Amino acid sequence: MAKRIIATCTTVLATLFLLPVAMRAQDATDSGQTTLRVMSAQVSVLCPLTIGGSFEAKTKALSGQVGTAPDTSQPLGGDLAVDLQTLETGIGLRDDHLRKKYLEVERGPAYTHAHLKNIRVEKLAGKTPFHAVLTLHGQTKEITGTADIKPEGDGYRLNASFPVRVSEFGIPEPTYLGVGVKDEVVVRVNLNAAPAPLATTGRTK
Amino acid sequence: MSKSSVKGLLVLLLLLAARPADAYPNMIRLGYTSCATCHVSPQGGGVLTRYGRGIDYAQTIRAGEPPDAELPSDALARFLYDVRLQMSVDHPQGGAEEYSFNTSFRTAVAVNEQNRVVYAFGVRSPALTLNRRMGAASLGMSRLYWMYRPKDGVALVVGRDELPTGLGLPGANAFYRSVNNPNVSSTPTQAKAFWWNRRWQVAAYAYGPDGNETQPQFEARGGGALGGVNVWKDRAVVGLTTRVSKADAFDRRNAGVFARVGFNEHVGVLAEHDVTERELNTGRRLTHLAGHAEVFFVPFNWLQTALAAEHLNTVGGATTYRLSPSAEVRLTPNFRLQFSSRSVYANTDSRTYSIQLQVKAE
Repeated sequence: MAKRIIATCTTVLATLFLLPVAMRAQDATDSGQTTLRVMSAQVSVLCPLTIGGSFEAKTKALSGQVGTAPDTSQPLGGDLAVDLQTLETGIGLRDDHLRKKYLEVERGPAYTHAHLKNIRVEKLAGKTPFHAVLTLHGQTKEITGTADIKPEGDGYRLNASFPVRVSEFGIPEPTYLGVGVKDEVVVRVNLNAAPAPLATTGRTK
Repeated sequence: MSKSSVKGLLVLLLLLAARPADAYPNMIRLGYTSCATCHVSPQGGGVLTRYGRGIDYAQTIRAGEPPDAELPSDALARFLYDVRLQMSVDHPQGGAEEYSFNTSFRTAVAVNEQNRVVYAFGVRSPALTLNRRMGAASLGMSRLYWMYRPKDGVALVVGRDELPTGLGLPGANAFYRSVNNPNVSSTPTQAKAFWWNRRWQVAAYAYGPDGNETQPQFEARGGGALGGVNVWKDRAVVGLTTRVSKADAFDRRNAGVFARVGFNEHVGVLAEHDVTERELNTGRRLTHLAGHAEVFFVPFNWLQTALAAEHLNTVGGATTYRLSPSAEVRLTPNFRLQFSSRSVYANTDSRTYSIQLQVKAE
């Protein structure tokens, strides 16, 4: 009897949890979109120093999925999220400063991740300008960049870059012992995306 | 020790000289294209700036903030200095272990935002073995110059210092300087100008004797220039060097190339090669090819390893090679351990193992 109750509950719970996912996937199919999930990625933020040289803050923790549609006038559905707590610059102390003092990741979920949504591209293959909405440090702004999209197997390989003005996102001016980071940093994203199975959560590396 | 002895020693120290300063051109691996980011001197080595000291503190096993981290970011550091005590143990192949102690004091005093006086001196003990000593203690001033920085990216220097080189590695130059530029001072009196930006690094200089030459005939006068360009994502700088000089003993012309490349934050190469032509006062003409190539591997910031290969070839004459693996462990901001060996391949091969403990206060 107990086994039957557990089995019934499991079936109900699984149905409840998977139904919305299946419905979202069906919605995407209905609108002509194919959902692509990020399989592997590297995000690199190039931070030029005020007195020359630069450092890179890197992470592989980009996850999420986007929907692609033949009609490129519509924004791509989905959300790409970067875990800012995993950014590394090559110097541990600088990582601490970056995460805690400037990105303020300890302030909560709105600060631990950067999100890229409403991505618009002019074409789904080759070099193309793109627009998107970036949420970072609790602030949301539109960004513009360039992307190089190449079909690869069932999915795509994407190299994109876009400039970000640190001050526009309310991030304190990064400076340490007389040397600062220039206001404009460049974000580079390299990722491989493949068609997602119905139940998708993205992968964090 | 009596007070007068201490005062006497201090005066002596203040009058005399230091060893070449530490330089870490492998910082190109982290995007530091120019030495001026971390060093007071744009050519690198010597006293660190506040930021440089912060980066130095951050690259040890016990990484932390430097003492003045709480000061405002733009605060002028009036008095930058460091004192180093270094104990070395060298074990030559087939010979007795030699112990030596070196002390150096380096300082940069800021008169104001634009003007600094930089000074360095050192005390070097004789090499000691268990039953004898070789040579005498040597004392000397390696640097004394005034530096004027009218704006970011421009510096004028007048005084006594090492001449600029592509890599800024004093040890590399010392290996072949005794053959392709013998008996001249390594820290001549000079005037030099530096200009650098995100893309370019240029230095031009003129120099003359400083009185440390072994004989008046080696008092050289000359000038030179070097230029580097940042060619790849702040991770590769390549450039050219040239120098001409005249002395009673020989006239000298030199040209070379250099490269500093960081493939990633752990691995990179440093290389500097040059050709030197010397015309002796006897009419004899010598051509030397010399070079330093180094692969560095930094698995952690507190563990820096390198394998350097150097060569010195006199056309129609002798060829010498040196292979030098090394490792440096940065225990704390104040303590470092360095291990190295130097294998020289020439007419008579030799190998020396060294361990150095460096204690630093700043």
